[in-house]
Formats: sequence, C-alpha cells, structure tokens
Amino acid sequence: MTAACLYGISNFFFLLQIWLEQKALEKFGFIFALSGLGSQLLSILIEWITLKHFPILNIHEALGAFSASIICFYLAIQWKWQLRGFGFFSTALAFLATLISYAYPNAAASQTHSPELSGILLMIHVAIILASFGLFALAFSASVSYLIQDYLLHQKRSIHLSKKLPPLHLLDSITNRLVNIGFVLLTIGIALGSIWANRWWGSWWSWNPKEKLALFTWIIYAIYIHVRTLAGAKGKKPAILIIAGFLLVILTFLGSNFFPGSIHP
Amino acid sequence: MESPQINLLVTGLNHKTELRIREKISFHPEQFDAAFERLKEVPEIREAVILSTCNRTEIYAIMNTLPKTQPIVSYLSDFHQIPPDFFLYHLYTKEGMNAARHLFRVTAGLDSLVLGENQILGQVKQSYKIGQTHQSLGTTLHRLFQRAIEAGKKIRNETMVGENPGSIGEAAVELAKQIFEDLQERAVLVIGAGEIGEIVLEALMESGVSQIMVANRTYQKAQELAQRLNGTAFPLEALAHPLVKSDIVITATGSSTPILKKNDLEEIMKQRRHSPLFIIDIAVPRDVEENASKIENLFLYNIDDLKHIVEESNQAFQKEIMKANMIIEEELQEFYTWHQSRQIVPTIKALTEKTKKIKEQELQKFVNRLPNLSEKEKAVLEQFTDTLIAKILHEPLIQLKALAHHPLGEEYLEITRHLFKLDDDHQKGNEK
Repeated sequence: MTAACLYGISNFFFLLQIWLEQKALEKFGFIFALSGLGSQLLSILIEWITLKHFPILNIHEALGAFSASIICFYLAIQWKWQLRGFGFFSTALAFLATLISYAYPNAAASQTHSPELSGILLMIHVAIILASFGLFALAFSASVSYLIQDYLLHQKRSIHLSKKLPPLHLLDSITNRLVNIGFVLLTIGIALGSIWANRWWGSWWSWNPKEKLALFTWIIYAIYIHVRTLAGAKGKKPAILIIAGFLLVILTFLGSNFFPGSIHP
Repeated sequence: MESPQINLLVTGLNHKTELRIREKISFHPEQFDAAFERLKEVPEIREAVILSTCNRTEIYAIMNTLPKTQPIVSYLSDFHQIPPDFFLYHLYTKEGMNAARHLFRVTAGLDSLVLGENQILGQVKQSYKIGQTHQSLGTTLHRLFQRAIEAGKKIRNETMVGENPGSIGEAAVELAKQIFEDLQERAVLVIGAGEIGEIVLEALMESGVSQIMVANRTYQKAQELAQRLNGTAFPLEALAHPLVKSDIVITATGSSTPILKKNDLEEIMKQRRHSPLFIIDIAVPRDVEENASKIENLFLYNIDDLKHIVEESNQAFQKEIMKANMIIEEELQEFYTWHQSRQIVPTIKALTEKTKKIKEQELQKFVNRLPNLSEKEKAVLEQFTDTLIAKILHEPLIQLKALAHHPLGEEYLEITRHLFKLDDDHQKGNEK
C-alpha cells in the first residue's frame, strides 16, 4: 500500500507542477516517485528472501513489479531528456497499476512451490516481459502527450498550453526508441516462455488465451516498427498504434482471468 | 513611501536617447581609473557608482548636499569634454527612494530595451565591483547595490520576465520549437519578400536554422536575397523541390490567389514521407489554402494566428512584470527600513540603550561587591550613574540632533555608529 500512496502523492505533485509551473513541485514529484520505487524494490527483496521465490508469479505481484518497471524507466528517461509533463502521465500509470494490484489476492502465502514455478528460466521470462511492458507503458504516455500536443498545435490558440508538454519531434523519437527496446525484450521474453513451456508442458506453443493475446501485442508493435521505420510514417497514426498496442498489453496482462480454463497464470 | 532623508540621486540616460548622444557620455572600461579619480574631486559627491553599458550611462550617487544634478552634469561635461547643453535635456534624474527603485528596475531588466533581458544583471554587478575597487562606495551604496542584485536574481528565478515571446518572430520560433524541438539542422524556405517575413526569418536564424532557401516571382530578387543570406535561390514555378526539402516555410507573396493549394501540399507531404512541415503564411490575402491545415503533420499559421499567440504571450508577460514589481517593492521596503534604522533617532536610541545596558551591568557588579549597602545608598548610587551618563552624552546628543540638516550629517552618524560599535549589537545580523 505504501508504494500506491507514494505514487499517488507523486502524481498529485506532477499535476500541480503542470498547473502552477513551479520547479519545486517537480522536485517533490521526483522524491515521492523515487521513494515509491524504493519501497517496492525493498518489499520485492524481502519477499524474495522470506518466500524463497522471486515474487512476480501472481497478478498482484506482477502488477507491483510492472509499476516498478514503469517508474524505473521513467526516471531514467527524465534524467536524460527532462520531458515537460511526462511525470504526470507516468506516475499516473504506476499509481493505477499499484491500485489495481490490490483487487487481486496476493496468493503468495498459499502458493505451492512446485518445481516448475521456481525455475530461473520462468523468472527471467516474467521479468523480461514485465520490463518490456514498462517500456510500452511509457511509450503509451509519450503517445498520449503527442496526440494532445498535436491537437494543441492545430488548435493554434495557445503556445502557453503547448509549452506544458514536450515538442512533437522529441515525443516521436522517444516513443520510437522505447518501442524498439521494448519489442526486442518482448521477443526474447516470449521465446524464453516458449522454451520453458516446451520443457514443462511439452509443447512450444499451446494457443492458450494469454499466448494469443501476447502474439497480437507482438504483432501490433511489429506493425508500428514497420510503419515507422520502413514506411517512414510519422505523427498521429503511429501514436494511435502505440495506444492500441498498450491496450493489448493490459488485456494480455489481466485478460487471462476473463477466459476460463486458462492454464497460463 | 516618503523619502527625503536619503541623499541618493541617479542621473543618466538609457536606450530611449539616440545613439549620437548616448555614445558621447558613455564610459569605456579603460577610462574608469581616470573617471573615478575625477569623480572623487567633486566635493558634493560622497559615494558613487558608474553604470555604463552600450544602452545606458547612469551615475548613482550619495550626495553631501541636497541631491542636485548640477555637480554630476558638470562632471560629465568636464570629463567627456562636451558642452552640458548637448546632453542635459536627455538626462533623467531621480531622487531618494525613487532613485533606489530605478536601480532595482534596471537590474531586473525592466528598464531595458528587451524587457527582462539577462545581461544587465551582470553589468550592474560589474559596475558595483568596479566601484568597489575604486573605493567609491560607502555603506549605503553597498547595501543598495547588494539588495538590487539580490532582487534581480530573485526576479529571474521566480518570474518569467526573461522569457518574453512578445513579437511575431519570437512567436514563430516558439512554435517551431514545439514542433521540431531543436532548430539547428532545420531548413527554412522563404517565398516572396516583405518586412515581416524578414523579421520572422531573422528570429529563426538567431535560433540556429542553418539552411536557407529563397523563392521569388522575380528570380533575380531571389538570387540577391539568397546571396545575402548564404542560401539557395529557386524560381516560384519550381517550388516542389524546396518544399520537400524544407521544414519551415515562410510565405509572403503579393499573389491575389493562394499559391499553395491543399492538393499540392498533400502530394508534397507524401514526398516528404510525412515529416512535419510548419508553414507561416503572413501574406494578405493568404498564400496557402485554409483547409490545408487539416493535413496531418502540417502546421499552418497565418498572420492572425501569430498575432493571437503574441497577444497571449504579452498578457502572460504582463502578469510576470507585476510579479517582478511586487518583488521590487518588497526589497525596496527592506532597504528603506535598513536605511531608516541608521538615521538620527535610531542612532540616538541605540546610543542611550547601549549606555543604559553598561550602567545596569556595572551597577550590578558593584552592588554584588558591597552587599551591605542600604536601599537608600543604592538609590543614590543609581542616581549618580544616571547623572554621569546624562552629562557625558549631553553634548554629543545635541550635536547629533543638530546634524539633521547638516550636509555631512550621514557621515557623522556613520562615524558615531562606528565609534560606539552600535551596529554590532543588533544590526550585523541582517547586514551579513
């Protein structure tokens, strides 16, 4: 709960900063985001030691790790580029992720430590995919900013509002970089999962709902990379693809619960 | 704020005076030694700072006499060897707290040609330092310049007076930065010619736009302009190529019908692989079909759009100026309070308080040493010390009170405060 509160407060400060434009507010936003991340990493470490497994196996834990991944990458990006208003979107996503995680039971205590769920391969598979999801979440934030910025510049009414967000070109190029790295990670993650599945389930790919959704997600980001890099499309259309891609990420993440009989946690 | 007590005076001229006169009374760095030498010979001036930049020459002075411009005018006239009539009527003069306020405004950049500009803060600091090295500053000017520099820094930190996109050119640059982020490697195409077009182009070039293309109905004109700007010329009939190559287009032809149609621009955008294009249409009637602004990644701003942005910026800027003025008034009030505390009445008060404190301490010691003293004896002893102190202070206090209208009054007060170490007790803390 601590992390959710800290991200919430951080998010509030970033909102105030957008509104009032005081540098000090941004600093508070950073401090709270950083302490939220710290508290999450600490609790992951504690669980790792006490429960003897890397705690990202149920949805509750995975959402926690997902938000940590968002904030971690956010801080790295902000360190390099100082994007205006980006903190608000990023901490909002991390805040929501931590909030939603409380809707899922933390079944860690009752989990049976079957050998298949404690292998190092599975851990890496989940961790890499969560890292790629974090990058996609930030690409989503940047694309939402892009669409708002594009709208404002076409409105032609206010440079003041427009200056609360980063320039179009920067948003576009950052989205592109995030997706490129995220896509590589996702590909590796899926491949590792497939190897793991072959070892424990006896087949490389079993078309369960989560695998299908993951494949769609992979395809949509592949389309983005194709359109953006090879066909040279810029602007709103790629941004909309990224937003659609992230909606698929969410579905992949939480969706398997809506499909009964799935064996993929 | 009533302010006759402070003998501060500023006289000088700023960018509103024409260069012809301004340059005649400005000081060059190598002149300062001689300038301060001569300044010290003027009996009416006790402390002085010379602020001389390419846009202004001002002398801030604490006068021994009532603040009058005449000694400074003849000093300027003597030093620069020009008749007073040449510049006298261009000088402005401010006295007392109004002079102090003027310095605060100058330091904040509120009196500059480009409002809120940063350079002047460094120039004021520099002048203050030069004054220091020539030992031409006393306590009052020290304090005044320190406060002014502090206020100048504060205003730049807490307000946005320095970021003023108050012109069409600046508005265009700001918009371009919101689209392209960095203008360094960007190419600009100028179609047609005109004053506003050149202003916009100039602003873009100052922000680093590197590549310039020029197109004009008369190809020769295009070539002339291209040569002057180190760019490439194109005939008006062959716009497709430069349009594909450029990022920013300024169009200002006298054509009565649009020269850039939506269909053509759509085709151009395809050839550009949809990389963003920022078109500034300052022609009246317009050069670009209005519905072209619906094209994705094409940002079309006409002259009215730009004016709207300028107006918005100016309104925001007015607010920032108000904030800056509020900071100035606060700092000014502080300076005033400090200055007041060094006047006759507070000085006398500090002096009597100090003696009273000494009396009480010494009396206590004495009584402790003689525990057998009766109440009556103690009373007599106290009366005696009181009388002694009163007698000793009597003459100095009368003299001090008489200084109120003496030309050297402040100096005497300064000496008094120094001799009795009056500032140590309660002043040093906030004087730093």
